[in-house]
Amino acid sequence: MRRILIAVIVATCLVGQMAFPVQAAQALPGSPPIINLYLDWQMKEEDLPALARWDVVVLDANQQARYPDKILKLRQLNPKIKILAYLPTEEYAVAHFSEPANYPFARLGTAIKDDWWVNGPTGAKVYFWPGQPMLNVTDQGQSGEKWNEFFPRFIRDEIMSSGMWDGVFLDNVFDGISHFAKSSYDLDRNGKADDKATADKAWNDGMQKMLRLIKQYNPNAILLGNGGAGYADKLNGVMFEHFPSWSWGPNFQEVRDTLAKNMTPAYTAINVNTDNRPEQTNYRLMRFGLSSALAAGSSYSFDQGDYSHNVVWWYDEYEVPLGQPKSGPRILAAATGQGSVPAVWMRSYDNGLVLVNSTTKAQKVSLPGIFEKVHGTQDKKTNDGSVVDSVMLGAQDGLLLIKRVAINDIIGTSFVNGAFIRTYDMSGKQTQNGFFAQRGDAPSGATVFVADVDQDGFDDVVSAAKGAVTVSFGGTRKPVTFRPYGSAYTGTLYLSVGNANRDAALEIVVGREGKPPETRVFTWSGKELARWSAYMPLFSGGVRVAMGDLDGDGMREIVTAAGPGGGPHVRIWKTDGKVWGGSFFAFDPNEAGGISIAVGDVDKDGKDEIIVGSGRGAKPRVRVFDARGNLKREIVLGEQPVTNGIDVGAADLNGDGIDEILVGGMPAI
Amino acid sequence: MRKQKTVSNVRRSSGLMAPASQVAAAPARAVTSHIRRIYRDKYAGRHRFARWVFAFDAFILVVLGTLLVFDLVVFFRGIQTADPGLEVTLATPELSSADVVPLEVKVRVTDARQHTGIKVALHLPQEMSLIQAWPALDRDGMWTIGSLSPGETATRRVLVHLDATINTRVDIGFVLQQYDPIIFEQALIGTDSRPVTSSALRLMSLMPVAGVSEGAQIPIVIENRSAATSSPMNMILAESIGAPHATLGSDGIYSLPALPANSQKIVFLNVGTGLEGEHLAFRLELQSRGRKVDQLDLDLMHETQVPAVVEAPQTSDSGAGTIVRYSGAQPGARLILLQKEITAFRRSAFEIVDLPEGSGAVDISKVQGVTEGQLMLVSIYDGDYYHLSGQMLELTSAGLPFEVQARYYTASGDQLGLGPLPPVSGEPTRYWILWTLGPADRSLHDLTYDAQLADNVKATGKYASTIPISFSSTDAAVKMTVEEADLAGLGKITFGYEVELVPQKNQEGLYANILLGSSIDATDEFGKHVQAFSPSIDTDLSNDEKARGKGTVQE
Repeated sequence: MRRILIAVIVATCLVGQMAFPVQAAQALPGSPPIINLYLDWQMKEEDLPALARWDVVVLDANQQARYPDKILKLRQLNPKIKILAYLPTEEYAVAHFSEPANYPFARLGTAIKDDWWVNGPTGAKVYFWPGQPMLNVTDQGQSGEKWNEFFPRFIRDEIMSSGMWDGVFLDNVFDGISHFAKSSYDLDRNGKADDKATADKAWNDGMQKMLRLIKQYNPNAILLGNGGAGYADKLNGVMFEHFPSWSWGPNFQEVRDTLAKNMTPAYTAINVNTDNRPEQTNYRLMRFGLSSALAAGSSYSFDQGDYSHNVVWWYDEYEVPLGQPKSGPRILAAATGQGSVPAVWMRSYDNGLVLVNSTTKAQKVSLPGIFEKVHGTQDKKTNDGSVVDSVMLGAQDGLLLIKRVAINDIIGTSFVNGAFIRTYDMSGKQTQNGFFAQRGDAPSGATVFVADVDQDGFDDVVSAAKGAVTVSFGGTRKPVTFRPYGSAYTGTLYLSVGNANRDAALEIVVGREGKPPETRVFTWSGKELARWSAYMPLFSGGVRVAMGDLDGDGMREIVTAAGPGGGPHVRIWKTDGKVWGGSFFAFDPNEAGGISIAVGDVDKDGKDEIIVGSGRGAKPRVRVFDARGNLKREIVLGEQPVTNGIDVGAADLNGDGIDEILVGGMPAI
Repeated sequence: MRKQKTVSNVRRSSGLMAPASQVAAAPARAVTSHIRRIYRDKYAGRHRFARWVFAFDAFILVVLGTLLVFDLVVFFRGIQTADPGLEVTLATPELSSADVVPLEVKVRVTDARQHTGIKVALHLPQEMSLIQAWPALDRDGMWTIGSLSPGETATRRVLVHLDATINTRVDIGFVLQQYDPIIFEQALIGTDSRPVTSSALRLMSLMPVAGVSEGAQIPIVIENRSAATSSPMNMILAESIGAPHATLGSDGIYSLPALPANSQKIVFLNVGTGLEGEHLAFRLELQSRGRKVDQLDLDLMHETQVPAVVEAPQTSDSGAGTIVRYSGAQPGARLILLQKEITAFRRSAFEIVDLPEGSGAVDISKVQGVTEGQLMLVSIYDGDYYHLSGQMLELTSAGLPFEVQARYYTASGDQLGLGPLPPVSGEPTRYWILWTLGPADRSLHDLTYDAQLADNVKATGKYASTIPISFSSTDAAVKMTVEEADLAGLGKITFGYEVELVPQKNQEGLYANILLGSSIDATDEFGKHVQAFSPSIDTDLSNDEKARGKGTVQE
């Protein structure tokens, strides 16, 4: 039965392995890449959901036999996770001899030949770690197949062939033997202790050979080595445990040099730990390590230490969608009187900034712009969500800062120029400080929508005020102005922009106040493509509009909402005005203050949701619906009615791939 | 009777007489020999534990001797009032009453010794109240300086509020302590007497007045010239000749709240009825914390001529004007229109409307600066002085809600501002000025918002408005112009702009001004000219809940 289960699992994983090439995956798009060394043999069930949030997880190789179901569950929870099998390269724990025969380490133990052990001149075994005699990675002192030839084959035939692993974590990839062996050694078994230089050279050569063969036999496997950086070009990554192991400056440079040599994709990581003390809330240490990793461009691991690689400590900073680095790290300020330089380093990312202060004094740092601190739930004193243009960075500390959203970042949704806007995620949490959205290139109070309407690669500003739509092009085209409802209409216009037909250019959908409540569709040059009455012609509340892909089929739908006087009614149309789907009341039908409407994918399910804002004189609320009018979420923004109602929008402002909900119209004072 | 114990006084040689040590041992031998003799004569055989008693007596003797030496040293050395190696100096600017005063005390080493355990404190007179000290004082109210090397100087500063009677002196005391290894502690106590030569609070007449009629109300201005908010004040009618019923508040005492920095307030002296004689005299005193800080003497003629009989202002038939009808206007008859509250922003303290002789009507709405909510005095102007009548009318206000706030955070806690909060001298802090208009039941057009920025404040160029607006700024002012503002349709409208303040060093410990004042000027849908003013705003953001208490400029 067990064999059948394993066979099914293997088949599933093999298919999955072929379908998805090895690549660096991240639990959240743009968030720091993180690795968890989870070597606890228990693999606690309650840890699995948390463990699945990591990008890379290293498990004891025996888990493929002990808990294959849990490995599968990790992949179900996070399809992008990379799981590596932990294997020491140069030692074997004797405790493995007593494990069940189907355990990989037990099988390894049965294959170890006597002359693979590292003996001293007297024939006694040599150790680095207690209870784990060392194995000879050199070509010396062994007859027939050598350990450095067998081990790569073992990885292929016994580990990677199970289909459960994306690669291996090779522990103790030492540059030589002399710094690690606890006693003298006789690698060539001539009865005499070896001199260090000769032994180290042989060890290095042997390890190089081993790694080369591992890669040759397992071309798709991720190879992450723990130990010396001397084999960087033969590995996808090196784990720098106990970072900084001796001095921050040279260690930091070593990480960067290693990354430059790694095979791609690169998984070099630094591990910072609390020296086997249960100090999960040592946020400063965590930040120092994380920001060092981000500055260097490596992955990051933070845990309790080498006796306790079995924690699932999660931090606010792990969820910051920084994006990709925009440039290399640079020094801001250097401490003097030091050898290699402890300094304050900065690195810009798409959506933020990383600072690390490796000096022993607090440093004031002026920032290259305005940023926002993380809205933290743990270290609220440091991550207080404040907006800053300079920070005081503590000694041996780091900081992640988020780029402050500027007005020019609002693309792909309409907003009222000059309104005070707040942004929320689907859970209702405000994602950052609100701001005044005032563009200088559109009239105050105009409805604005920024998009590349002519698809020339430049964003264009579509603004609507006093009955006229103006398209100001980012390229070389001259502005276009047209009056969608004729010259007699000088009131407010509502806008949305999207692809309403099969040509490349985007179309402009317009709604109005008053009657008739007609929705009209235009090209960017002002040519009318369609018009229809969203409501009865005598309805004087007007119509608001939004456009998006509600069913994820690549075709846009147009959503309309009634203005004041008609109840909070929502209807869905095809872009030519034919009815699509149904209609529904977004709030109590007796709320007659009108509603605002937007469309966006706020939960990353691949389909746009309908976002509705409450109307005049109502308590401010936002509701999120699916295409069928099923309520997915309500966000209550306050208890006091808002005189003019609120305006909603949806756009991805922080680059995490998920639209935020924009709310305008809430009073600033 | 205690049995005498017989002991032998014969001792063997102890080796002290050994030839090699004979010369060196001679004085020691003499001393020990003497001691032995004393023991032999006074103790041996007389006490049960003679050696113990002898040792105890010797110990007491040593202690007494030490104390004696110590006292002799102290006596001759003395607890000097100063270790000549330290010098204390006190620096103050000219003292102005009702003002904030920075005091600086310096301790300097004047000799070649290292001095340790130095502490210094100021003893402030009752006329001075401490605002802030740099660095902060210890729990015992002193600064611990610690050690100073030869030639080194330590400086400590305080900011105090002074409320002293003008033309008096205040004594500022100081105490200097230091640790002395022998004496353990020395103290230097002294005082420095300084004159108070001026006052930041001033009394003055709003306009040059030479005569008054019965019931006339003389506008008196109280001005706070300090960079800090004043203390609450009292204004007293100390003397009144010829006007037995003159009043200034109740019982001749007018209580006034604290005045913001660089601001003014108008108070009216009502001369009352039953004036006697041709000449009137008044003495007004301004007191802060019970001490006189300024005085104003008025010598006036008792007028009997009525400049004009003026009716209450009326709205014109077209609704566009404010008409004042009058009769019997004498040559020089003049209406004085003044705001009850003065702001630094107003273009002039009062406006004037001359009344042609005889009878007629004037439309005061066309006079620049005339607004609702003002007071109107009727007077004669002789070319140099005003002669005030007893007529005072109030222009009714239609009430256009206009409010201005400076904020670092919104009401919901979003951060608008940038930079250190509390503000720090020499570093920029940005605030948003948010002004609201309405709700009201009419539309406005050609609306202009003007704001006068304080020193060290400039607009950054960022602004926000949800109705069409134009924005401009200079170093000292901000102007926003709105073509149409339909308050009836839009309700309350909010506009905003960002300013940046860089406080100066002399503002440390105080609130710094951000706006000196702002106003709106517009025409309503009936053609009526509308104005409203808002007072100055400083870094004490009392409306900003999250920023409250973070307004004092820091070092």
